[in-house]
Amino acid sequence: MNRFFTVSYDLLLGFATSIRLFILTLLFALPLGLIICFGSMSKIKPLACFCRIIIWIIRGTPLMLQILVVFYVPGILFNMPLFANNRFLAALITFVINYACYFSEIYRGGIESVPIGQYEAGKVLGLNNKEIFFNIILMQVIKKIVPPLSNEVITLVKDTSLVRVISVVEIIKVAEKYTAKGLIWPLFYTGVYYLILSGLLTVMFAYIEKCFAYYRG
Amino acid sequence: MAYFEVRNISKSFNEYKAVDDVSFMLEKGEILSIIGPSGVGKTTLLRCLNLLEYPDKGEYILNGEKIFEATEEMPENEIRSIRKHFGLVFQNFNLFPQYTVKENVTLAAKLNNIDPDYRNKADELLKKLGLEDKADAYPYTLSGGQQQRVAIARALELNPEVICFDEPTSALDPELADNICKLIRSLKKEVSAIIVVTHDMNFAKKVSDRIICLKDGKVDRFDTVENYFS
Repeated sequence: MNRFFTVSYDLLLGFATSIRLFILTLLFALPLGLIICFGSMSKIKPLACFCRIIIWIIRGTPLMLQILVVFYVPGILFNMPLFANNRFLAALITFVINYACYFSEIYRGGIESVPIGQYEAGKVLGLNNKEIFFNIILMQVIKKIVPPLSNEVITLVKDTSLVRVISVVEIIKVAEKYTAKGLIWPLFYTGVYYLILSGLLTVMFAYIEKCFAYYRG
Repeated sequence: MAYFEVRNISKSFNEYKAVDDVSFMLEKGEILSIIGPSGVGKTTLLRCLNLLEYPDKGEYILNGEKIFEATEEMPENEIRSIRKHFGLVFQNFNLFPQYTVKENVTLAAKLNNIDPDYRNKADELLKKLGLEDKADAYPYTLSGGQQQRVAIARALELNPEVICFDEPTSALDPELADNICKLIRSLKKEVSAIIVVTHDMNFAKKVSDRIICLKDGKVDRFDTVENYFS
């Protein structure tokens, strides 16, 4: 019983790293995604093209590979091992860029799904573009992006386990230490932690969706 | 002298001339119907009036004052100030789904901060249009006819001189077409001129004082309703 508590506590410390990565990624990727989204929808062709290429590269390659590239490439190519002493930062930067690209596509889908008539209705009422966006469009976009966003956020919880490829000690890495000593159950036990967090997030997103359920369309 | 005059409006999309040198005029308090088959440029003409499409050339004269002349480029705020003369009730109404009926009606007045009494005006309009008990309802709970009346109230709230209707009968049951006809005619007291786009000849005959028939973007006939149908 004593060992169960020791293992639980150890795993919790590992999971704290996972949660830290999760929260910081959301904190930076949600706004960065909006910037990339506006870039990809920009009327300035080279900017839009640049953003679309970045999105293509990020969505077209595995996140694990991206983590390895960010961590190793500065050292290999430029002899500047930027992240040798801060592996977590390498992981965080990769996650922020990766998730910002996915979020940007969700935002774009949300913005483009608002009928053009809503913008025009704002225009004929004499509103300017800023007033139209913040008073008419934004709320409708948020309502539309909550479900795909919740999907992506729950995927992020599980993706944090990938950072152990550059030896960031998160929950599964901790469990693997026990496996190496011949104790296999802590590895499976990590699933409980993920389930609890994703369960909480599911409840939270269901609540947010409910807040927007007062209207349709 | 005519109250509202449109001179030589043209609008092309690439090579296609959607509206081709259209001119007409209206006396104060008159209702004009723009008729003609589908794709003839009726809606484009209406959208040009509200500057949702920017005309390639032409001008608008309202109450003796030239309020618009098509130029190469026009700053957004100038376009916005010209739009204030016009109201538009869209074919599918385009109400804002996240706002209640009253919020829909008052949103622009609240943001533009012109009339401090805008809430009372909205209440009056809703009462006049038979929507006083729907003030706190959301658009999705309303019937098509009710939604249309909200859209009318939303346009009237801003005191436009000219109010435009795009196919007002298309989203309604035939029985309701008579109601909207009466309603539009009753608006003569509220606004100075009314322009209605419709393909329903019967409706045009009942609602209008003047008729303009378009053909391939050009004016085919422009006449009073009596002459047109005699």
